[in-house]
Amino acid sequence: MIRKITLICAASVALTVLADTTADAYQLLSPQRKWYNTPVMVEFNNNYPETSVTDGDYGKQAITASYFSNNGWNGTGAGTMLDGMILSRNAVQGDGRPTVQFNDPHGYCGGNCLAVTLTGFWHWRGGVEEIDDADIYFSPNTQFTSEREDPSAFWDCSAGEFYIEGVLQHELGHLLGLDHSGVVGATMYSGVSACDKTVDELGNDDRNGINALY
Amino acid sequence: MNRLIPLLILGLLASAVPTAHATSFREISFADLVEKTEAVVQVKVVSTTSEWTAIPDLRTTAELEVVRSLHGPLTAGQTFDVVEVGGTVDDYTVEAVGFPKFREGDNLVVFLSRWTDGSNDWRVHMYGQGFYEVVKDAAGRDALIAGAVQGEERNGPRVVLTRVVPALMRIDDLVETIQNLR
Repeated sequence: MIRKITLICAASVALTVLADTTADAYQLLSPQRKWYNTPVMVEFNNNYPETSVTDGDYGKQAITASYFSNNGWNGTGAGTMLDGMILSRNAVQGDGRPTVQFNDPHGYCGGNCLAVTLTGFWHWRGGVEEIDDADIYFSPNTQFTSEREDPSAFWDCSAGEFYIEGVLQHELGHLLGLDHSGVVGATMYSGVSACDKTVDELGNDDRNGINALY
Repeated sequence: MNRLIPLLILGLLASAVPTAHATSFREISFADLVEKTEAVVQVKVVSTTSEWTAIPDLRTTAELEVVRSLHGPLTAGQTFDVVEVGGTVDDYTVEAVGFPKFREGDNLVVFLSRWTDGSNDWRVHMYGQGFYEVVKDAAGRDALIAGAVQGEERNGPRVVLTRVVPALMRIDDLVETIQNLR
């Protein structure tokens, strides 16, 4: 029996290690899909500000900086990928107007979900999928912070808070057609930890992914 | 000695890196996964139907037949519906990256909870972390691996991630582990 237990343990550990190492680079969403007109104009819905961010403007300046930063998706070398505007208009699936919304009226993102990206795409252009809409919903049940509110993740960030800039950058990667990466430290890495303020800084793996797609 | 196995597995569960595998998920432990789930069942996917709702959004309803109830009120032989956001109608697809993806004929173990949008419909609890495919291990016994989620190609080169439940965990051990936690 001890031999059996040892075998179970060894197999589990081996598979865990294998599972954590099989995805060692960027992944594109499958089926592969992309926007054919860039930059993608993304609308930030101003109706429901992210009130858990208490930096004076509910993270508006923080995410705008994150969004337009040359260190973000616009600075990957693939060209200007994203443009944006702030509007008072709700996200609607399939309307061709990519929207970032800081609430979740339809309950998509509950439980342990911090934010979700829904991409809508057509099957055409000779079998290639074209994204024509993508909406991002942030969970209203999560406590977010910003780098303006908590400049030092170590000293300022409260336990359980997530930096809104990093979560947004990750979701925008999905919006553009990237899946999760196995590279620890990449913006598109599959896991995110509370008070991790490094996620919004793209890594080489993120740049390689977007440059390969576009 | 038999009682040691689930304890050992529980230890492995606690020590395994809980891989978040979805849009942006807070990492959770197996105990967290079990704590608020209303039902855990082994199911076969009977059919799937996608349609635009009045919201409007695209949702898929999967009709599932209970093969075995591991926890909760659902019983073997019973059929019920699970609703997930996303799906395909005509040539248009909406995907919620990392959310469960059902395919007719799939043999799965799903952790279930309810939508909080007023519909009270079933949905997969904690998204991809409560969603496992039943496969045969080397000894021909039922075992679990992470199920395919939206954004992954089912027949393509799959990235096998352990998520919360270790790969190739046996269903009987899962049942005993759940019972120990509740």
